[in-house]
Amino acid sequence: MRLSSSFKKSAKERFGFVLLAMLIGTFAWLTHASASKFSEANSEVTVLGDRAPQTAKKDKGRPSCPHCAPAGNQEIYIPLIDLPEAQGSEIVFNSRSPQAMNVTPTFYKRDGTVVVGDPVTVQSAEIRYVDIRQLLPEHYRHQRDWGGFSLSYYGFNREMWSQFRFIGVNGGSNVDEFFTVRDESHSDELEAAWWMPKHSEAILALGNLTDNSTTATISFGDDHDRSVHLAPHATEILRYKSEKGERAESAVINVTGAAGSIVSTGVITSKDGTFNSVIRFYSPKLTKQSNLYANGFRVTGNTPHMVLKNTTSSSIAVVPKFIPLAGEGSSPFILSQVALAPNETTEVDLKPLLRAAKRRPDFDLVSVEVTNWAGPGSIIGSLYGINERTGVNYDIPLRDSGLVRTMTGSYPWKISDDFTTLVYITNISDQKAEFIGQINYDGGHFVIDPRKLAPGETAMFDLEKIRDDQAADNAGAKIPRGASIGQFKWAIHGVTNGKLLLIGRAEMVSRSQNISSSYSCNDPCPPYYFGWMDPLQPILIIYNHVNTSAWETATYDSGYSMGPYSVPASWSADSSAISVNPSGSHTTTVGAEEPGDGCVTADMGSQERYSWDGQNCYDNGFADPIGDTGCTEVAVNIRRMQYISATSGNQDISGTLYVLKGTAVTFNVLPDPPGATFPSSQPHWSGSSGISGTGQSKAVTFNTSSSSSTDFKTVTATAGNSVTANVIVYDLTGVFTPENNFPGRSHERFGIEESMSLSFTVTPSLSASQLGGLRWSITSSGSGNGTITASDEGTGTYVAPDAGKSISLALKVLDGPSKDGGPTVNIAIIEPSSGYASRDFSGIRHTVDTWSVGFLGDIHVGPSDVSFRNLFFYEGAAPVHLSGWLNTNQFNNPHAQSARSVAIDSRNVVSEQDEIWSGQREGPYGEGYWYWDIPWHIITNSGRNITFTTVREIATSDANGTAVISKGGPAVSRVPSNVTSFW
Amino acid sequence: MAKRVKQVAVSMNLFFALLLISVCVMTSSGVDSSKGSSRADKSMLSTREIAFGQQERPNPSSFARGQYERTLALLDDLVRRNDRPGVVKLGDELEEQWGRTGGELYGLAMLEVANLLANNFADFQNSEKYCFQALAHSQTFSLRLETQFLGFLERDLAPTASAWSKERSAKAKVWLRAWGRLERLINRNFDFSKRPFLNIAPPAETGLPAGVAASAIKDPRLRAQYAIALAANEKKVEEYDRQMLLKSIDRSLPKSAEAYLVRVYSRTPYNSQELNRYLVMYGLSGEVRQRILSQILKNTSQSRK
Repeated sequence: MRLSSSFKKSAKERFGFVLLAMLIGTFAWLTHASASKFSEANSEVTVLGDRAPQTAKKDKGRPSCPHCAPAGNQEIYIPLIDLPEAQGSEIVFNSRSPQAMNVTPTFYKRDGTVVVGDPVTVQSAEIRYVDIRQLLPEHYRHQRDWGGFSLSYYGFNREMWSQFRFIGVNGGSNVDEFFTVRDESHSDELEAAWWMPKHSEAILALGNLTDNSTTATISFGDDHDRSVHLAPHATEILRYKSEKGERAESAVINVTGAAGSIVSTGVITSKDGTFNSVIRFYSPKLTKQSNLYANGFRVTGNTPHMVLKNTTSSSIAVVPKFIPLAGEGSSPFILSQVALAPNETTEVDLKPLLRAAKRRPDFDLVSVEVTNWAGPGSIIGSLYGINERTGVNYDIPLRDSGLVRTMTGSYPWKISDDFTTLVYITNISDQKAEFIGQINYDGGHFVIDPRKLAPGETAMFDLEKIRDDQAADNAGAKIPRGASIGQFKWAIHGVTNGKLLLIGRAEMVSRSQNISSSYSCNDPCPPYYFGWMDPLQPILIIYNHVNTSAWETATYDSGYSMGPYSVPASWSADSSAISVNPSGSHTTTVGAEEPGDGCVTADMGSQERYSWDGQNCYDNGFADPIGDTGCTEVAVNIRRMQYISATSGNQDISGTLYVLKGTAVTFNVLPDPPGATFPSSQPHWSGSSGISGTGQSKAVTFNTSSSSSTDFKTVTATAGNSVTANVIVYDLTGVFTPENNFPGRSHERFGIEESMSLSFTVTPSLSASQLGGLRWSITSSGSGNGTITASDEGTGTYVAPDAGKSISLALKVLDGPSKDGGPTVNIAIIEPSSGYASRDFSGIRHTVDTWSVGFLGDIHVGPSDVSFRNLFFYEGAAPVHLSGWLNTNQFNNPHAQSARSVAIDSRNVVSEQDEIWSGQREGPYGEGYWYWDIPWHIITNSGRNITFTTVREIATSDANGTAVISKGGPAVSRVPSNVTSFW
Repeated sequence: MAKRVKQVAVSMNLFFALLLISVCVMTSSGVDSSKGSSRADKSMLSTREIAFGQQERPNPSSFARGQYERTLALLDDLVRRNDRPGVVKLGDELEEQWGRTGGELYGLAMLEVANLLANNFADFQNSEKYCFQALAHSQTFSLRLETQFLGFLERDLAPTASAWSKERSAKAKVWLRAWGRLERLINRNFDFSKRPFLNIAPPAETGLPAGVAASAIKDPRLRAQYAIALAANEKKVEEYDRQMLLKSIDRSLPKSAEAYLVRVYSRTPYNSQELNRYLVMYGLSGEVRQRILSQILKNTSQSRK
């Protein structure tokens, strides 16, 4: 029972699977030193091509090599590189590596002598043809008697491959020779069957690829036997001639030494060179499957030869079937049953096929299936074609389906001069099969997206046509018109159900150079497919649509990657927030339907799971899902940002916003499209203002002032898009400048009816209009608080009321987010409350020999820290008080009220001077006094009369007639004998 | 003879002019009611001389202090109740009842109405309306009060160009009327070092202290001598204080008026001819006219670029 799993699992399951795979892969990777080393080297990869497949668009962290075998020392071997009949020889380096590799050639003499050549560096995916003698150290190049040859490197099995070619054998076409992986050589019995024309010779080469001597016996079909003894690395050549006529031949090699120690190959060559071909040896004991298969077999215009050999000691019967390119559904041609006696070798009569091909053009080019019911390895065969017009010989490998790796291919291609290269991939199964491919060329690669083949169907790729047609791949890449050489890679894709489904080969032909080569070299194991979808944008705007496509990348155990491939997927969405349409296609459209989160899953089907032990590739009988999930959030765009004003409603923000320090501002955003609703988690608020949180509206208090007019405190709302408001936070201070701004005066206390100009300072420096306008106002309740004339630019004039009281003035922002905010200043309005007369600029008046004294007084009105300028002062009437020597009629007069009020100047001094005079009296003197308690008045500009103090003007006399006088302030005195003086 | 008559007439004119420009800021309520008589018998503080350069027209029904204080109380109540229509109604009533007689207290009441409307209700239209109404009677109150009204007229309120032209014209005239009034009254060469006296000592022969009334002197000759000295000082006080107050106003009014005029006449629609006419009409000097008009020309030239 096959195990399979669906990719349609829950996100947790998928995540768990990926995590587990990552852990296992990472553990295996890290615990192997060579793997670690590979990883380092991989980072320096220079892959042919400008679109390195290693740089896949998306790597979900899956292990890049889920069934890796360790890298190690690898060696591939051929037993013969030197034939007297050949005019030359060459090998092709065929790299499957993601990195440049050093390959060391080793030459063996027929006797086993070892000559090691200089290492050759082969670039990633490079195809390079080299004259094999150029790999020899120079002084060996003219020597002959060369036997075997090996290439060794450090890396993975088949990471480097090659094919050898004898050129111009007997003046005719080439004959190729196929490498054997040293570690895969296990057989103790090798068999071959071939067709020989008249006057031809079969040259068999047996090479010892081991460091020990070995032996073998060779039995030819005519019961002629030979024994050979091979020194270490020695090669024995056996020649077998056919002088009588064309016939089918065969040979069996029984390795009597160590199993797998001998590798053999063979060449068929006619004396005139008109027919040259390879003899392919097989190991029937190691064969896994009964039937024989071939593809790319040309029928029309060719003379075909099919040779079959029964390898068993029992009679068997087989049925050859010839299938057109379209597959089983297009009526294959089936030959009559071919009966084979025990160990019989026979050529199959293909005349019926040739006749059928004349009626059926689709038989021009066919694949071949030799159906055999006798069990694996019971039959081997060979297939040839001779072009009747050009004489070109074709060797078409006819063999069992082989190992799992048969479902891969890495072939050289060449289309320079008259070279052509055709690649055939055939579904040999009874179920649909799918493959992917990639054509590498110098400077890039051309991707072949997954292609399904019906049972029996063959896909053919004409490299020259692809190039000349300038066909484009899924990324628009084209094979450059100048490209003439490269590598064709393909591999099975999808689930095989444990069957071997596909075979492939490339056929390279050059008539002018007499070359016809068949390449069917494989990669060690099919690649692992990573599925991924184009990433979704993290945020999709509601009602918008976005396309995403499904892709796969094929990665080999060596780390070499191909793709990306456009693949179909079954699309699904896990949330009503998003939709997908169509649900089954390479590309789908994801629609943002409503706010919320949603994930899209691309189910790209399944792949067979393989594992590889370093030599063999195994089908684990398990299907791994391929797919990917992308998540997004459907968001609503922000159309614009506003602030919410308590008095003006929502105000759009355009340009810089100016906010008074300490102001809490509520911001709001409007959705786009209008009417849409933000998801609960959006918008997200952030910024240097300190705003944070989510929601359509958010408040923040601006407590940090901007250091300059460009030091923005930002408010950013992020939903589908981001909108930022730049805010300048300012400090605002109201400034009072008294009109009478004398030194030492108070700036919190002001005299009644005092006038002051109002202004402001703002940090950083900004204009009032930038702030939204500024206006001073009186905030004390009621009337009688003075008058204020204020502009909207933060300036004005305040005139204090005519009575003392406390007043509050406010500098308010007129508009914007700080509307009605601003500093409030409390001041005290002070009435006059004290006074005195002083002798500031006066002498002392006196009349000699009299009691008399006086001075010119300056009347001071207090308090002195406020201004009473332009108020009016006058003295009221006052009765006289007398005593003693001065209690006479002369002094018995009241003080008269001032005839006129007089202004107070900027020093709080009454503008007029006061003649303060005691009067005078001659002696004899005595003690006494007179005084007036004079009420002092202030008249305000509003006419208010304030009796603010009473000042005593007093004159005294002592017994000596000393006169002393004062008026609320310092006293002055004179004795009668003082000389007369004036003030 | 005719020449003599003419000289007398000129002298009379000068006398009345002096009377007109006499300064007195005291009202009847400011009269001290304490015992004793005034220093000069004729020098009771007059309620009729409250305006600079003008004598209030005798009107027994003029706005009295009691009425003024009741008005303030009413205004206080209206403002506390946030009753803007009530304030407007009161302003209308004030103008209706007292506008014709005018006077300092009327002006003060109207100033408070304008102040409250602007400050408490941001009703600048009505505030300016009452300013204009009061300033129509500015000859009945002091220049200081007149300049206070001007502070409320600095806003540009008219919404249209034609309305703005009218507003600018009206405001320019009241600004210039006040400025012209200052220019007519002020003596910028006045010697403030020669201070008058608050009290004067009687003639030494009397032996009396300074501050007594003339009537305290028994000797008629000395009493007359003292009375003359008191009268002379009183005149000196009058002129000294007037010039001191004018000097105070001179520190700000011309500067504010010039700034206002330059600003508003630098705005469209340009009309320097109108301003020039007003400057001449209100008696501003050629130097001032030239300076203002040059600045406006400079401003408008820059605006036109």
